[in-house]
Amino acid sequence: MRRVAVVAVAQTKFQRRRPDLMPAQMVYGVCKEVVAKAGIDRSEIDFTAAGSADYLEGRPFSFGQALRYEGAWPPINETHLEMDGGWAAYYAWIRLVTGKYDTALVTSWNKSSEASIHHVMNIALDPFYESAIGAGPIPLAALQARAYMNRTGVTSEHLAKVAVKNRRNALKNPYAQVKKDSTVQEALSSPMLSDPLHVADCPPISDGAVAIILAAEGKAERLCSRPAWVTGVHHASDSGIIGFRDLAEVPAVRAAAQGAYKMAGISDPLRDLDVAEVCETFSHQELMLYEGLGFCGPGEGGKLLDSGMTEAGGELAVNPSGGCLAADPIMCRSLVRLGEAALQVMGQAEERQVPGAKRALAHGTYGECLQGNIVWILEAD
Amino acid sequence: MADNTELVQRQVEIEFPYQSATGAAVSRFLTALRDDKRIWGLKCPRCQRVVVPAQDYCDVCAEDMSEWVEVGQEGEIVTWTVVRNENTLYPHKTPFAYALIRLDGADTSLLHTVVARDYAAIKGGSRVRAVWKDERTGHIRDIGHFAPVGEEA
Amino acid sequence: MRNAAVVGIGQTHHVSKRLDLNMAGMVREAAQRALADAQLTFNDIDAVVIGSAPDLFEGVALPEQWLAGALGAYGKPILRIHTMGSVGGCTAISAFYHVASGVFDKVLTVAFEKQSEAQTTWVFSAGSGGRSFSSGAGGAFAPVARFYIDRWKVPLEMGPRVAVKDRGNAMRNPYAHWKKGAVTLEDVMNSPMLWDPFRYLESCPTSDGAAAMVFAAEDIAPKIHRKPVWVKSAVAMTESLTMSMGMKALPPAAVACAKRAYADAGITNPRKELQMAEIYTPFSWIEFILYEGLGFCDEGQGWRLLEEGVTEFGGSFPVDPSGGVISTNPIGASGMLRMLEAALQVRGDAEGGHQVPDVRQALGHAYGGTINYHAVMIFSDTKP
Repeated sequence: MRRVAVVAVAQTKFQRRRPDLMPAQMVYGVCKEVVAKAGIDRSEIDFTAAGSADYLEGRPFSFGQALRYEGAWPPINETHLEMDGGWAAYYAWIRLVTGKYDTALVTSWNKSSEASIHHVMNIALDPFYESAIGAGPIPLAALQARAYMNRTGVTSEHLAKVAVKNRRNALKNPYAQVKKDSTVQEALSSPMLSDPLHVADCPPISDGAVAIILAAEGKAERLCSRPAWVTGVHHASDSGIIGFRDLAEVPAVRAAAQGAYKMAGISDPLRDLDVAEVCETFSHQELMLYEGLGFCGPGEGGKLLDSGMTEAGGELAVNPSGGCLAADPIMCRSLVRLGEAALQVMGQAEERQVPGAKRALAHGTYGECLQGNIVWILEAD
Repeated sequence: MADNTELVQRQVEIEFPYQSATGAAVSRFLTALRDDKRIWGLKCPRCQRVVVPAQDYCDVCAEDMSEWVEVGQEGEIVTWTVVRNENTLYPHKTPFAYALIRLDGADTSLLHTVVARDYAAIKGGSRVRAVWKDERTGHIRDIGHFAPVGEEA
Repeated sequence: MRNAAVVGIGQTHHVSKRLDLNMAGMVREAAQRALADAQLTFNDIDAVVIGSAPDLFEGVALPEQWLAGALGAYGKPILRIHTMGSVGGCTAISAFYHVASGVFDKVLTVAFEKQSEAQTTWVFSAGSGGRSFSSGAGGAFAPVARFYIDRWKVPLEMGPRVAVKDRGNAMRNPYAHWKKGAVTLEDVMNSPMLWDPFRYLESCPTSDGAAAMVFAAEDIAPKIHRKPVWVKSAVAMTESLTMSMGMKALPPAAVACAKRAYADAGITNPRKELQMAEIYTPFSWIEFILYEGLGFCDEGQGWRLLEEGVTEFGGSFPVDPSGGVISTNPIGASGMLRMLEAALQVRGDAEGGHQVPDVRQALGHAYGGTINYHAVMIFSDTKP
């Protein structure tokens, strides 16, 4: 299979509200920056993929506004997905693997500040039964947290530890939004939103955009001294109906990871990987992801966290960027994780660089309670 | 852009009316709530799960389902959360609980609400019973909420 | 890049309102027909790609999350494309590349719209300044039609003649929405003017409907279907929304898209090397603009192709024998309907009498937005 690599990444500093730019306008800066970072002219881009959600802006067709900022003149080969940018990146990868295209631009934007996230995500649920009961991301995540905690014995302290770890990691990430040195006690004292989830366990509301350049072998090496090669990638979906799932399990994470590991020849992720960037939209999800991604055995997520191995300086640093708990531009989440994992492998992660990182995992998710999942393995030669 | 340019924010409330067809299975499920105060599931011919609430196909197998099975009005709590933050979409004032409820005879859970006198007493396996509204319209909220068994009155 | 072929085709019977099925049921109906055509089951599929126009049309956001189970994507990859009106075409193209890349062997793709569930005009206008500015889609295209008529001094009945052609063609297509019979030029000219110069009968309906296709890799395609339809080109291109056409009525992205598609297929003379085309004409006069943009004739000459009968059903280059978008328009599905109709023609399986004789190569086209998004696929009975 043709080798494809991430060769450049650009992101905005994520913040609670961007009052100065309309959603699609945020794309201009990151697209311009990433093209410059790759050292190419935009005419060299063979394929552009974009990810966003109209519903967050309350306007149908609003994604069309981004075309001019993506550089769509003269006409370009572009496809927009109404999905998290991580899946736009997947389609771009598919296009490059065909051999017909050599260079792709992928971008994604998100302005959560403009909408009521609960209302918007409520409308993504099964319309007759689950949307109709008024549920939304926070109580649904809480249902999963409770199920997982009951199944495994993981405690609220474990959840708080994840939040503290990631927001402390974020201090070293100039793009992260919520960054602080805090304690488990402070996290546990934050108001309870939906038991057992405190404010500290939940993601912030974030505005921002991200763009990456993917290039195929033969081109990638010219654009980057240390390309982040995609050696494995797969994605899979669980049922969209919450009641039909066993929330304490993450079969779609396992399926995505197994597919990616098989492609990449990984058998012992904890040892084989140097760093992982995962979408832990809620703190308990990071522990579930440890298990689903095979970093530890079933039920051992809390134990792995306690071991310190997933701290920034540990055996397998997880979310040195701060993850989604530090910045959560919903429709960009997975693309940001891919970008961060790539920066690690490319040796460009600045202060948050895991020294010598050669092989990274990026995880992305969509839907509630880790419904849909994508796993990428990136490696330096 | 000059520093003193005023950044104007547009305030808009959007409301789009929809009228959605529910299809045969959902229609039958909802009319049974409305007319009979009964809860029905469908059994998948492949995996044999009794799926509640009813929909025309099994999510795991993608098979059409047509074998109707009535399930109980009571069931067990599989997982729950006591909601503390207010939201205009919530069906009750806080505190109340969302829960996944495994009704007797069903192999899947119903996402619904639990209203209780003592939320601290709720645990996995607690039994709850449907509390019906007097005025029912063919909506999942024809069941107003579930209450811990013994507390329904 | 390996070859891939269409091995399954299915669609619903398109109508104003499907009150009998919810959205999941409607997409399943099309998917099950395509799978039955391929003699495959949901289990045989490796990945699913879906497409539809704004979520706001149905009131379900990010519908691939709800629909994953309905389409057999439990445990599998599912993607959702959204490129405005061209989405059905871009979705088919995406499914094709999923297979051509070598990553997946059998991919199911579905495109749909259940517009009856929303107030579509209202939803359209929410994007352009709020409810006070209700242009609807026809209003956006009327100016370029007027420009075309004036620029090339076209007889005013030519637009209506597109409607006569398409609605007559629809009566030969059992799946088409339009069922009220063939119409005369007089019928069209007497129908109410909606957005000058588009009259009611020259304008597309809103339909509930779904389209589905199955693509398979070259080594297995002939084992799946007796007559796999090979893909020779799959190109999607766009420019930004601001209708850069300027003082021309020739969409630059259509020109670029068609050029690339012909190059990929090794076609230098489309009118000779293709036997027919299914193109995306939602409002009559756009048909001629597309003939020219897609290179069927020189600029300004498009209307003559119809005047001379070339693109009529019995002509030498029939366009939209299915009845096209003017007769049937579930927006998200319409682009895929163009692709699957072109594939059906190559296969010789178009039902109800709308099969064009001896089709070996056919073009399917879709556009979206302000005629900025374009998708073209070229199908052939011969493997490239």
